Amino acid sequence: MTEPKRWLEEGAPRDIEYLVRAVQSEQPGDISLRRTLTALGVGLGASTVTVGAGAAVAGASTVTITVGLLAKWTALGATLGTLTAGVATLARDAPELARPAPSSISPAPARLESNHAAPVVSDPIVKDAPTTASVTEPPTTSPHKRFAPAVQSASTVPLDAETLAEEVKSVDGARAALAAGNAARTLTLLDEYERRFPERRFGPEALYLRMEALVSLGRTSQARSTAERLLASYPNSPHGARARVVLSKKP
Amino acid sequence: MREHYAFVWRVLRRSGLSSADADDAAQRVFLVAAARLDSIEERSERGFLYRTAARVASNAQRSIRRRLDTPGLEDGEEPAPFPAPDDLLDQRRARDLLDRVLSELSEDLRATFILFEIEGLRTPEIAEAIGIPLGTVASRLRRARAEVEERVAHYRNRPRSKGNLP
Repeated sequence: MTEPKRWLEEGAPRDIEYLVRAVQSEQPGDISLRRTLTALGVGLGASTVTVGAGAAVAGASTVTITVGLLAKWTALGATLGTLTAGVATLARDAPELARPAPSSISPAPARLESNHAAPVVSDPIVKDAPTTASVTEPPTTSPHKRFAPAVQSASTVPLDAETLAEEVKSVDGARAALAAGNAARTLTLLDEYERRFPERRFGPEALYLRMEALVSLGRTSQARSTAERLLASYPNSPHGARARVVLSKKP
Repeated sequence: MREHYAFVWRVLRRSGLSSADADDAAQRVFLVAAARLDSIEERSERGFLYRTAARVASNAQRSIRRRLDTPGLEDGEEPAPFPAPDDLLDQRRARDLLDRVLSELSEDLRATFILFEIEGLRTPEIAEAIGIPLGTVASRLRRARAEVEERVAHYRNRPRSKGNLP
């Protein structure tokens, strides 16, 4: 079968050409890209990745990350920051760039039978998780405890695919509970997430989910406190806008 | 890196996500990819990324609908007047309009149009990414073009209300 020509090559109507070119020219911001790389633990700043064991990179503190699994797939390895098999040494930039960006996305996709099924990272439902207390009872965890940003510990903990997948699964579970309307369970799962993953690569998202769960439960003052912590700890988080909305409402 | 990331990001944007939500979603897509590297076949990366992005976007839209007080284009709300090509500020309106048009297509046609006309994938890649025969890609592309042209004409010829830009 002959490969068709692009509509713009064939001579699409002028206004359609304009619309398509406007969309084609849209690009994500640099911060968006760097946040993703940071969340993956594979690089920050402008091409500050140096490949090779033991290579030192000038600048801020260095982090050595084992990326054998990532390097196996060289195409995506290049996509994720020109990594090779073995160890890559990265230089980290400003601390705020080390904070993983949150994700406001609902749970991981359901597994399909087809070979073309969307890949699945995790089962969104965390089995055997403790049931949460009634909404009239005191919270199982104090929302007023200090929620320190994980930037320091995240920058020194080796990243491996398995740990990352587990962390994604944990946050997925909380997100799924919130999407299902079970705010109390969301809080319980978030407590578990914080216990299991002190690095909290998804710290901003965890705070965001906690804030939304508290809003759903009508625990306004706690929701406001969480919103304040989110803004204070992750001032560049995309969830900041939502946090400001929460704070703008009368207590 | 930018090329693949931009591809995923634009696919997410064309799925109706805002820039901020697309940022989040793109991160999720690459986290999934990182966790599933072993299962991804070489030379099928874009197909994998697209399928993941489509699923992530779908989940994101369900999540967004449950958010409180989310500003944005509400159902039934008309987009801004047709953008003028010589106005740079209209780039955003142009994107918004095309997103609106694409949202009115069926998912099958929308995916085919986005991947071929906007992202420049070849038809075999699209067939593999979506999981359809090669011939089906071609037929969906024809139908998608026809519908896009019809919808764009609808918005172009829409009477302007008072207060709109000329």
